[in-house]
Amino acid sequence: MKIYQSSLNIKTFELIAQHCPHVKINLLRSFSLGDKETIDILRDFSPFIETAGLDSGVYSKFYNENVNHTLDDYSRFLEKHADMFKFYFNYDEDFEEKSRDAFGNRNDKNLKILEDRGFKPVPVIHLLNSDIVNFHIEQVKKYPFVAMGSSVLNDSNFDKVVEDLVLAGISVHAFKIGSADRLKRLPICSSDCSSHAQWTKAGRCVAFDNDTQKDRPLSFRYWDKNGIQNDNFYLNHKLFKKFLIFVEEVCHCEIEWLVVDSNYRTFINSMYFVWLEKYLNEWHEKGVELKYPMDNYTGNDIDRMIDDMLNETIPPEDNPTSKQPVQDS
Amino acid sequence: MANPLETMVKYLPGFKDILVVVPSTETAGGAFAGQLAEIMSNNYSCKAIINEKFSSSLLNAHDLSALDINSDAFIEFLSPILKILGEYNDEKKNCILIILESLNAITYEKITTSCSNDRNQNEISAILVNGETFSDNSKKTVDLHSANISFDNNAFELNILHAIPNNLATERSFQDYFGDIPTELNQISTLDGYGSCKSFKLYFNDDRAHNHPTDDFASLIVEKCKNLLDSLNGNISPAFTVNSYVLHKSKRRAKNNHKTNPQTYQAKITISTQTSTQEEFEKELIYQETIVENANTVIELGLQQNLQNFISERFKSNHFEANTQTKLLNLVYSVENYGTSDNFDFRGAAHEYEYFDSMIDSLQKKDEAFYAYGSIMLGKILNSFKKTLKHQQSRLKTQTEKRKIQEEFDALLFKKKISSETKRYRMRIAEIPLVERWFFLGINRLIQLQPLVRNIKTTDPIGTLLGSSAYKFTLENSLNEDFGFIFKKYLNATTLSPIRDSISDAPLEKLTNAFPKTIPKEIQKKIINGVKSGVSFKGIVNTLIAKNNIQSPEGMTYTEPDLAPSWNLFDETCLKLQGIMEDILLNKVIPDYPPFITGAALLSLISLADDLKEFWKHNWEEFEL
Repeated sequence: MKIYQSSLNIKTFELIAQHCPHVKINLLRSFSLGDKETIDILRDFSPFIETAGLDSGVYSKFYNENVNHTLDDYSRFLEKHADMFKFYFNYDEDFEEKSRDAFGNRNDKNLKILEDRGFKPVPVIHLLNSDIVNFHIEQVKKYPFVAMGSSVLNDSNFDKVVEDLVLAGISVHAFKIGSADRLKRLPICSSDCSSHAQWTKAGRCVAFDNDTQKDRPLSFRYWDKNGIQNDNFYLNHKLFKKFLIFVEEVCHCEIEWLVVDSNYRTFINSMYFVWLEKYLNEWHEKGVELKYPMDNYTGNDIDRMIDDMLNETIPPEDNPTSKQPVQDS
Repeated sequence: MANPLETMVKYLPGFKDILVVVPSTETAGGAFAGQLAEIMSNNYSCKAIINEKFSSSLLNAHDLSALDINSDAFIEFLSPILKILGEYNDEKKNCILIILESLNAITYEKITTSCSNDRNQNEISAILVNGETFSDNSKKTVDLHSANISFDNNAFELNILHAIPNNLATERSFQDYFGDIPTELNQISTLDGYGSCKSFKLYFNDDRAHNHPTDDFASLIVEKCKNLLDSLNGNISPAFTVNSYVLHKSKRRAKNNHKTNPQTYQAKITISTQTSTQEEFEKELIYQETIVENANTVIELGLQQNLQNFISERFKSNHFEANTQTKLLNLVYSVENYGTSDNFDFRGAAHEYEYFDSMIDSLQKKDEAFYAYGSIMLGKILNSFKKTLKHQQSRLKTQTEKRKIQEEFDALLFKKKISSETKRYRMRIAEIPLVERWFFLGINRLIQLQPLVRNIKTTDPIGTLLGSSAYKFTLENSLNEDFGFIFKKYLNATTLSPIRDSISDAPLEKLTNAFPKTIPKEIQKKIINGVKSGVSFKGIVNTLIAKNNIQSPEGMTYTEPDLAPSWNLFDETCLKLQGIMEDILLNKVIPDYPPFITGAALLSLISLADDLKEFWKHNWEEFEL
């Protein structure tokens, strides 16, 4: 399973090159008019990229009226650069499928237009209606890889539909899932998330709680925007010690850098998802429980550290029954 | 010059056995029918019945409708027709051509169509004639369907309403049957557009049925037939059994058949209003009259009459082909009625749809009313195509096959890019019964009305809303931007009728502005309950709007203060507290902890509220509770 990271910028890659040059990112870039950064990243930082996918950028278009590219713009971009991506999604601009009626819908038409122009976009499912799902199951040969749009993530049938598609032999990509808890439960082949950037924007980093097997935010601001004390302030956080090890030993940074520079927070979050991806694969393949970096770790290689962690036993302080709250350091 | 009737008969398809029923030869319509019968009897094995007893004076629709349905005259008029029809049903399985004066022929067309469909015994087609109305006077207004044929001395002329193939279910085109249209029939160019149709019917009609609703008359005919069949109970031949079945069957069908060709909707309404008792029948007639009355209150009679010719004039003034309107109506009718038939040529029909779509779309910015008319018609066609598509998909097993035919429909219908919004509003508006009557309101107003009339379950929801709200359409106010608001406000007032005496205009407008549609039921209930318990209408509206955090539109001025300003902590907190208290009462919350703290808090609040009230009463000018 791959976690494609979106919203990574050149600065993040520079930090990756500087601090964790052995890491390879699965990168998802969003199509945007006049955007040179995508090409620059793919050209200049290819050693740090495992695979790259292209999103049509319609999510931004849907929520930002200033974004106004069209299917033809997307098509022109693909003509020039499609080869740089392992896959690219359909231009599914009708996010809420409002155009769907008895005669079809705009997204399917866009798919067909792109196909007629010689492209092979990955279709995106925005509704879990049985006719749509069954169509894809029947069309497994033509569309062996489909994506589940973010609009259906909260649908109660989501997990079931994913399972049906996978059982039919379809590889499923789930948009905008970065939650460890959820990714553990889904038999998808890939997901993407921009959580690292979102966490960063909110002045936070993400860490993994071994007890609950869920991700937890760490805030670098003492007060929230309403003037209320953040209960996840990093210095008071119960995961602080583990997080500190991850920052210093795995990512080779100082915690102070994260406090003052949001680029470092993005970088650390990006590394978290690299870690999470590797762990999830172990979990899916071997059933190994996810464990966040241990405090007795002294290595300097993320892969080796991950391997070590996978083989490590849970120390007493990580045992939920003997857990003591971490005091303010 | 050859008699055009002879020419026409020569080119008519091969009806082997023809039943000709002529009401009378004394009227223009009857004379024409008789003439046609004579010509046809020379060419075919034809049985002509001329019902002489039905005098010309009774051929007038109003006279006929005045007749008692149990009168001998009526029974005499109907019985030979039914009898012979029954004999034909019983003995033969050939084409039957019925020629009738158009008013009752419309009814008969229903019967014969149903008959042939139900038992598949006969292929029955009808030529419907109405010559009577083609007097010199009526010529001035007869122009809705411009396919005219002038006969000797201009005694009458025929307008071709439909050329919809029905009984010739083959792959051959119309031209295969008719060859080159002879000179005399050049004006029947209506037929020209149906080269790909597989069967056809000819309706010879004028626009009188359009101008003068014939619901009552057609209803009487249907009722009469039913009574006649009932009276034969116990001695019913198989043929009559078929007819009786057909009548009942058609009644069931009509329930779902309200979307129809505007030229024939009245007849369809008639069928749908067949009732089992005279009382119900009369009720329905009264209701139909109410519809007309509604229209009369909304729009002046003079303006209504001008509108009758508006569309055909627009077709002309926009330089469309002579029969464009007729072709459009034909398409609406054929897709609706034959769209799910096995032999229906949806590709040909879709091709025509696309032509009309381009044509009407070009007028979007030029003429709102005409564009609305076109949009309604296109919406009707799309709705029918939707049924056609569903019907075809229902026969397919896999989603892939279903998707394929969906794509085929889509490609055929929407070669020209059409926005999904346009498609949606066309289809939704066209679903409103009798919406075509209100084309003159323009597309934007129809779009505004569509959600408001969705729950009005009458035969003419727009007429009901506009008529009952005392709205008056004039050309001057037709540009009023508050059109939708007027009716939204009216509907809101209607839903608050239990407190109608307490409703004042300004708060009602504020309330209407606050919700995108009509006010939700829970809000209605709160307002009614609040007013009944003594709170002023204005007060409760303000409170509800504030509590629901509904933004009032900009530019509105109020004489009362805004009760939910974020800077007014007191008012805001009071509103929150009200909400908490209401929820407790609504959900009947009874805490399970000791009540003394809560009780004390409540007492303190009441006591403080009293103190505050007294304080403000003496220190805040005009403050009172």
